[in-house]
Amino acid sequence: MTPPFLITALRNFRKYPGYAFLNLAGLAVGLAASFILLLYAYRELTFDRQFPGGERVYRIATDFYRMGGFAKSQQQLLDYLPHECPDIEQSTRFERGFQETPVKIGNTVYQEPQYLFIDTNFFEIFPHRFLEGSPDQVLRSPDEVVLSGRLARKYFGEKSAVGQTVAIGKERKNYTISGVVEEMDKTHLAAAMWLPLEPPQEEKQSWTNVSLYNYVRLKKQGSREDLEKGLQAVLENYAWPASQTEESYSQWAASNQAVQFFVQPLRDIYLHSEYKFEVSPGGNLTQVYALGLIGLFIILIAGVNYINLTTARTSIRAKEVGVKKTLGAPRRALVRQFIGESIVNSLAALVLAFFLAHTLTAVFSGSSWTPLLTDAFSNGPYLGALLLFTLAVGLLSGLYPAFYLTRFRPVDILKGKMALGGNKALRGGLVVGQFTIAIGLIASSLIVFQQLKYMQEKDKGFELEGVLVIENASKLGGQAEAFRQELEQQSQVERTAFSGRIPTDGSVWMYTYQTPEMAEALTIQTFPADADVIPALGMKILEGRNFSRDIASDSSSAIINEAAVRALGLDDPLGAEINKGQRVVGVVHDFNFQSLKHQVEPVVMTYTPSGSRLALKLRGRDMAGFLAVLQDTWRRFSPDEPLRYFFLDDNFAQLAAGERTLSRAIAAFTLLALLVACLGLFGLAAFTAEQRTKEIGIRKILGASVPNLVGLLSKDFLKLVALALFIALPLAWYAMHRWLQNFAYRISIEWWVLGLAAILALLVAFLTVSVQSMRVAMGNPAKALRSE
Amino acid sequence: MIQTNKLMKVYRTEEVETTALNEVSVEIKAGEFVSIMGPSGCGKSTLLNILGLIDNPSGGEYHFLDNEVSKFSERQRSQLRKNNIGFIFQSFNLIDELTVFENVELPLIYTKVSSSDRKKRVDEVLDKMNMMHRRNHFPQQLSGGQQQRVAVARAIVNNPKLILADEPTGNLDSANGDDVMKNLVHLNNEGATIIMVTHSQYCAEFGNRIIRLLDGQVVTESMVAKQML
Repeated sequence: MTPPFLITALRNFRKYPGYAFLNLAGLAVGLAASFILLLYAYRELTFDRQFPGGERVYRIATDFYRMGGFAKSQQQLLDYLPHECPDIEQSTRFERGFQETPVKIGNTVYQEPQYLFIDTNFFEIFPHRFLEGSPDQVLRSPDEVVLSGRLARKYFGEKSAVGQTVAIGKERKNYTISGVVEEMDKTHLAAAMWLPLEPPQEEKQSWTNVSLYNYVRLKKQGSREDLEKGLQAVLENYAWPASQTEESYSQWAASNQAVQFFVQPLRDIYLHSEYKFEVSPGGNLTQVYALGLIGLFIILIAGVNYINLTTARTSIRAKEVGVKKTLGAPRRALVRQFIGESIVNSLAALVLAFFLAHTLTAVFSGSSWTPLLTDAFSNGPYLGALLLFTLAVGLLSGLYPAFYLTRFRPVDILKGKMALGGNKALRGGLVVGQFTIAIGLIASSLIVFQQLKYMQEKDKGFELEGVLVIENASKLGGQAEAFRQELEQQSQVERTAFSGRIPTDGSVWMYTYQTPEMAEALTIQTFPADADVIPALGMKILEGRNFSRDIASDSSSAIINEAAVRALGLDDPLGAEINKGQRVVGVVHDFNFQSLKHQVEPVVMTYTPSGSRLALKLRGRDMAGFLAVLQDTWRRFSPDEPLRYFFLDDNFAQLAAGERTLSRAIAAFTLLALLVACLGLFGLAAFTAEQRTKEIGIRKILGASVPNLVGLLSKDFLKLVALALFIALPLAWYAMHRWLQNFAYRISIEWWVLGLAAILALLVAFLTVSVQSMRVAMGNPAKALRSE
Repeated sequence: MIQTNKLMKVYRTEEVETTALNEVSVEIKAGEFVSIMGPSGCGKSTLLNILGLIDNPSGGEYHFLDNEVSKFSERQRSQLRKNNIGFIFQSFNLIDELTVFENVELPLIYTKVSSSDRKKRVDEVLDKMNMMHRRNHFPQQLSGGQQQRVAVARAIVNNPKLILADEPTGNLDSANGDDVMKNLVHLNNEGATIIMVTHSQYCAEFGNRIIRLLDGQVVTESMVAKQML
């Protein structure tokens, strides 16, 4: 038997299909959007949770000379640490592959980008599911390799991979596959191939050199403090003595020369660690919070809509309630009916939401959003949580009308004595809340967009456009100069320059500098460059001169930037000695070589005629033609090594990739939030207009014009939106002000941006409401009055 | 003042076609007080709405103040209506959210009378209707008779040439009903043309002519033997 609430729910749907659809669509869009966003946030916040005992796993990061910290640490660290910290249960080291490596199977060569060189106990600390082989039987000899299931399928199809041989690397060294594991993606250790870590060749035991990632797992009773004490002991017993300093331990520890260790819980690394040489690019915490918050906002808006529309509509049912009560229906039954109906509706919205979420993720296909839904659909707890959530929204929105409507005495309802339409103030408040969120989001996305544009357009202190950088020019060895000269014959090549480091290339060069006046050395970013780098990149020399091939003493010359002038405290930089025998010959304008989040750091450029990077300043049009020539030339010079290059402007844009995703997502979901809020406003306006039909009719008969009436009906709503503006704009200003603090180079928030957001919101709200007002205002007043 | 020629009004729903008015031809001269009578559903209110320029006829001609208005647009009708016609309804149709003063003021707002003039004229008619002491009350705070007096005040505040009353005494007791009728007669004596729809023979006889409708057609027209009030 169909339960009665289902019958009334269905009939109400049929009777008012427009409202029912609005109501469902609003909730469905909200559920779908927030579902995706919350899943995204959840995914990002739960990285590296899949390893049992992972809460006891820590990475040891290090720093020395105040260089800013490294995710890697010393290769010998784990030789000493376990002795100083008995709470360590197990420790493991690994190294990651830096660039694509060729993997040859038969005659086919694949390029694989993601692989690690690991200790034999890696899979004990980071358990993976083995599809073939077992953790204790892999990588026991230096010529074994473990593949991910994906690679195994790619190479061998459905055949078993274990026992097969593959040739890896330029040297084509043969490896036997000893295991196949399921690939993991929610970890900062994502890889598809695991090779044995070769024992260090030289016994170089420097404490100011990093080479391996070091992880430890503590015993159950162990604590982070114990680990930190152990590291302290390593410093005192090994690192300090090794520095051969005259200083006492505490003096040394306080100086710039000191080695430091940092303990990082495994589960914090993905979102919180920003050291140099990270295993993989981390997540973006701001983005996670921003999108998660938007997700919450949207579901809030949608829930409010649903409650608002449902309660508004239920007053139409007052007569039904009155009659039923008169006929003896207990209040309990009526409450059950309303809540039942509401839940049925919200479940219908959930079904719709699934379809929508599918479509929405298609918009983001190819990006990191895609795995979300696959995750969601195959994951019971996700689905369960979603179902519960939907039921809760249904229940909540059913509760209010259920108790509100059934509270009245039947005689009052039938006589029409009760105030129809529920609590006006509550509804007004909810509308204000919705629009506060929508307006805040509009303003925020405008500001994020502006900041991005600013970052793109800001003068970086050098010319990004038309600069192609060959990353692996060092592979040319002694032929590098010949290669350069051949390229210079091309009409598209304006200038070439060798450099050890190019802005944005991700490499780290830092040296210590100390003027005679300084008590302590300072670690400064260093750019080894030849005489062509400054003109090729269009850097501006403010004082002094560029390096010159013809001046022999330039091998010990330096050119520094303005920030370095300040950092080194140089009043008269030209000719100043910044290290023994190293003198400044020029000062360049500050240039941004990192994300614009960071201030320009002090930079010292040192004269180095050869470098691993070859920068080509290009001109003219036929880029495709030039790239073909470039590839050709490279192949002649270096047949085995693939050419690796990037365009400088692309690389710079990449630095703001996180911000760009954020802005795109905020914009998309702001539109959604606005859409949902407008759906609600639309429904509510329709309802109000309907409620006031008679009044409109009277006014019309008395001579009110259509614009009069539209104004009358819209005024109340616009007041609510205006109130929302007053709340939203300061909040948006504050939030964006805080966000902008992340950037050393940022826009200031201008009033017109907030004004634009305000105008947009008012306009959209007015259009939404006036559609309804127009409909009623243009109706036949005779009809309005006949319904008495 | 009013002349209709074979007025038709047909209502259509998906399945049914109802003829509310069937070739109604009436003529009403300025200064008349005409009562329209007939059983429920005979088309009285429909006729009144068309005469009041609230609704358009489906066919026929309607001359109002020398204009052929049957094909007028809503805007044109509104223009003619707000300057020339006042309405009184059975259920008063006062706006609950507005005070007595504001209700009466409405027609003046829509005819763009200045604020000071509005105040003067609203106070005049409220005084005339004996409702000055209630000017700041809301409709819900008044008795039925008082509400109808406010409605009458609103109908005449613009000095309309024509007053249309749809069962003005239908919701009132006999004392209040008589009161409203006396007011209408008084307005008629002052020169207003009045058309009133009513069920009540007693009320109808306050006018000087009675038109009877049945099934959308005029069945009789009769003059009232004038009695002195």
